[in-house]
Amino acid sequence: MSALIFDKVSKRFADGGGRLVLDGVSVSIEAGKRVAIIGRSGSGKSTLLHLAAGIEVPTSGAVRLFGQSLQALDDRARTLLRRDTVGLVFQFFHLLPHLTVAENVTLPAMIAGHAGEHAGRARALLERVGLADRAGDSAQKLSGGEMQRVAICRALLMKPKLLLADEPTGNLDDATGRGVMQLLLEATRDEGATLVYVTHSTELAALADSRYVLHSGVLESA
Amino acid sequence: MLRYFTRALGALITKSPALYALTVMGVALGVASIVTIQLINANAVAAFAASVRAVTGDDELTVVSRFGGLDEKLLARVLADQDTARARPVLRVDAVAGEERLDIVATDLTQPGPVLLTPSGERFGDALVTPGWIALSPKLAASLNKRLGETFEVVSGSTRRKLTVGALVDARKSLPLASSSLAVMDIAQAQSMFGAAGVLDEIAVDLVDGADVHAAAERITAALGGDVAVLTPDERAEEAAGLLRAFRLNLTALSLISIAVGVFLIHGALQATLLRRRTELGVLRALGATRAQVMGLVLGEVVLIGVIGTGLGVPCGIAAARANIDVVSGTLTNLYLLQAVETLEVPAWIVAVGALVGMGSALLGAAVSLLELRREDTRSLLTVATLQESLLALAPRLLGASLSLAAMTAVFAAVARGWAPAGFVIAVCILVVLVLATPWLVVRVARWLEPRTLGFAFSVRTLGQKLASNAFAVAALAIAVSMMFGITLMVGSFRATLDTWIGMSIRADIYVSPLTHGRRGRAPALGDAVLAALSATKEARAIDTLRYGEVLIGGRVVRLSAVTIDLPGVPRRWPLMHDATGVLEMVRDAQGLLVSEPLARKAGLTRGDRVTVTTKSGAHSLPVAGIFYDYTTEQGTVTVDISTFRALVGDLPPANAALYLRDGSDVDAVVADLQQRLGDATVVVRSNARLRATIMDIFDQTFAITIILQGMSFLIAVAGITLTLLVLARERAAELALYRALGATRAQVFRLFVGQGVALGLFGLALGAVGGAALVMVLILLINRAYFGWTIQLSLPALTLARQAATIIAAAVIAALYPALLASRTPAQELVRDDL
Repeated sequence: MSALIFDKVSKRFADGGGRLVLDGVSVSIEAGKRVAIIGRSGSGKSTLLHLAAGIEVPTSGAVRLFGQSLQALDDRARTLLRRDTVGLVFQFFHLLPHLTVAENVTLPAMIAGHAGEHAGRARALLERVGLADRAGDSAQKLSGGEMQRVAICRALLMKPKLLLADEPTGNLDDATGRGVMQLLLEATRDEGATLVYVTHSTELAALADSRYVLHSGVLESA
Repeated sequence: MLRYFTRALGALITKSPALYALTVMGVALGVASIVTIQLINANAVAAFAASVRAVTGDDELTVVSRFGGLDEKLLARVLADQDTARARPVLRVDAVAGEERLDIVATDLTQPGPVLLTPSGERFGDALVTPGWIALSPKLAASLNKRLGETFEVVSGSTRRKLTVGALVDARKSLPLASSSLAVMDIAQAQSMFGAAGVLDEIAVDLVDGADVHAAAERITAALGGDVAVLTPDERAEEAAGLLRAFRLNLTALSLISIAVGVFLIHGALQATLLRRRTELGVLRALGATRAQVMGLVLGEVVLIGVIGTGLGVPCGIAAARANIDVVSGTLTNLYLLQAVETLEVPAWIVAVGALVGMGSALLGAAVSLLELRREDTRSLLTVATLQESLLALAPRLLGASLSLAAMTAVFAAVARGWAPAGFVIAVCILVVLVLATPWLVVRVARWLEPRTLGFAFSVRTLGQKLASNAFAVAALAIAVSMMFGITLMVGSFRATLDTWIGMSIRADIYVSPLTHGRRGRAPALGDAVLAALSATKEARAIDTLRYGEVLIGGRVVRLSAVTIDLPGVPRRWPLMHDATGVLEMVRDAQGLLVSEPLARKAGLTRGDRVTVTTKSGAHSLPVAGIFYDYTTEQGTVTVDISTFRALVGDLPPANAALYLRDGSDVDAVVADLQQRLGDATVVVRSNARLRATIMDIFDQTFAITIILQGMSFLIAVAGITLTLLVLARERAAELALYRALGATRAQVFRLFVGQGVALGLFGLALGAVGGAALVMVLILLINRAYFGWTIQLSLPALTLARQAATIIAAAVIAALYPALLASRTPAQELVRDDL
């Protein structure tokens, strides 16, 4: 079964003179697979992930998430689908400084209105990434690698079927980056989730089941 | 750089028009509140001065009685002085004609002046021969619907007289602030018509050229005896200003609070702007702009905010003063018997004060930001702002400073007992204590809450993070709420105290009083016909009468009231401040004085003291039998038995009467019957309930301007909430985008912001409740006692306070709506940078 289908998806932004960011992208990603997308800065990688998460809608073409056409949904329905189905990992971690480590992990459950039910899972995830003893600390006190591990826990909390990671190692040194990538791959495998990640590194891309290259808005199999 | 300044300013305004408008509004409202109060006060004093000048003109000196009226025989002694060129006798008569009030100035019209008559340049030969000749202002004549030669009736005290409009003169042509109710008569006619034969109120003295005014004043004072004062026009204006001193001081203090709230608002706005523009300023410095140039850039923006705020605030203040002049004028007329303020002049100094306040508050609000900017090096400007963190770290130290100041304030309160302005110093300290404690409280509560959903607890938690913006909004609101609660508690307590006092003091069923107040020492009498009509009231079981005179106690002119202590059927119970044992006996048998609380406090009198009471018949040493609560006048009053009164000031007729009815009598029916029987008699007949309602109406009118000031300060604070949340919506765009990316709906983000508005409101409410409770104690125990001499029993107007608390929260919710709407529109795509 396909977790994510892009069918001739194009995206043109109104600003910047109607710049075409994605040009007729078509791809089908099977559930449970780990897929890497390689591309330079400005090639449209983040836009592709935003479309996959329902944050953006395509100018033309269709995006289907586990069989559900995203453009058929309104903003609220897309948001709820994203909340319940998709996990997001960002290059800059985006942890909230005023929340503790544990609270950052449970943030998606707070948004969904049932943080209490997920408290145990949050503890287990932090245990898994070796940060259980930092649960009560402020997120500001963590190192970059620790922050990204917390961000991965946050992305996994709601047991998403699809994990989207936008250059998850882009802000880390090589050794830390490799460790984080390994964690991401193992965790998605154990959770049975599909992983789509964007990276500059061919070394990290090699760890995926399949790879694509995005060049000037056009996606090709690597 | 100028070009960059205009471009940057343009961008700032177009990017955040609401933010800019709110900042300017903070300055404008602060300026407006101070301009309103100063304008009303200045015009009240100026109206009095103009009305004095309308009568005395350019005369150098005015002889007035310290108490009671002047004997007209004194005129000869004034004329006998070597430097007197002219001396003009003046009698003043309060009268009413229908709904219109007349301030009749009677003088010798065979002499030049008064100024009131001079604009027309006419001589009024028929003034002496036409019975009841009177000159009116055109406005007053129009209000009375009378033309030249027509007659109309006036009532003064118990006297009803027919007057003829002999001339129309407009004193406002030369003295725009003079009251239009001023009217002029010949003194001989007025003395005869209004029962004041041989009595004067003033003697206006014109000195010969080159005379030494002060030497002449001293000589005339010595020649006339101790109970007269010889004043220059300026000294007379100062008398009015002195009467209003406490009133002015209190209102000025309140308007300063509005400015303090405005300063916080400006500070918050500017801090937020600078925080956002830190990188921009860093780039400018990196590209070679000097520190002075960058400072100049920011300073220029602050000055512009001050200029626009002042430009809007001054006209708003003038408009507010115009809109409220009637209310305040009513208070001044009721409480201080001053001339009504009819027109408003805007002296240049008030515009200057407004500008000073506007520019000053803008610069003061910007001071911390500018100082910080001065310290920053280029590198730190280019890095992410650390102000939030530094304030977080500072919060415990600020709390320490707050607690220390609270302790010092308590010590000061104990040490400075008896120093009148101490209350204001303590009030300011209380507000500063609150402000200093605010960051710690916000952080503490924010950290204490454990959010389980994206609900209210989460809203509060996020407030703790952006402390630099939020703490100032909370502090500003806390000040406004402190003021609101403090004044509400004070006014509520005062009202309740007054109500209790009225219950004890106003015990008769019906009260009868003259239509007009009367002048110093010449209280209008009820008249024999009225007294006879009252005696004929078959339902009355007792009729009590009250007489008024004036005496001098410790250099103060004090109203002397006389009652018959042993009047069958009339319970004699004064609201004494102490045990009543032996008090009435002392008043009746030993010429004891019942002294009102304001006089006792101001003159330092206690029960058992002997006091020198000076009257026209000489000095008398009398014992203080008791001290009673009294709220009729802050000037003080003394009550004695009728026998003592006669010994002191003679046998003056009753000025008021009170009827005690037999059980089962219909009070309203008796009032109606009396009104019918008295017919065109010149009195007001009021039931007990009606009189109480009238007193309460005057009380409420007195505090009306206070409510307006409260409103202004509250409006500024609410604008502060909107401003803070607008800033947050911009500063936290990335964070909001994260919520959206993680699946938060727009409605959730909207609620998050409304929750923050409510949280700001609750913080302000909590701190304001503490501040309000402290302020009311200062207002009641220190400021009121020092300036007015009144004891106010603390009471809790729970319903009013609850209503205000609900208003504050509702206002916070409303203030949060627009920022919440903007925040909810933050797209998840905003999450592109590391700027959480």
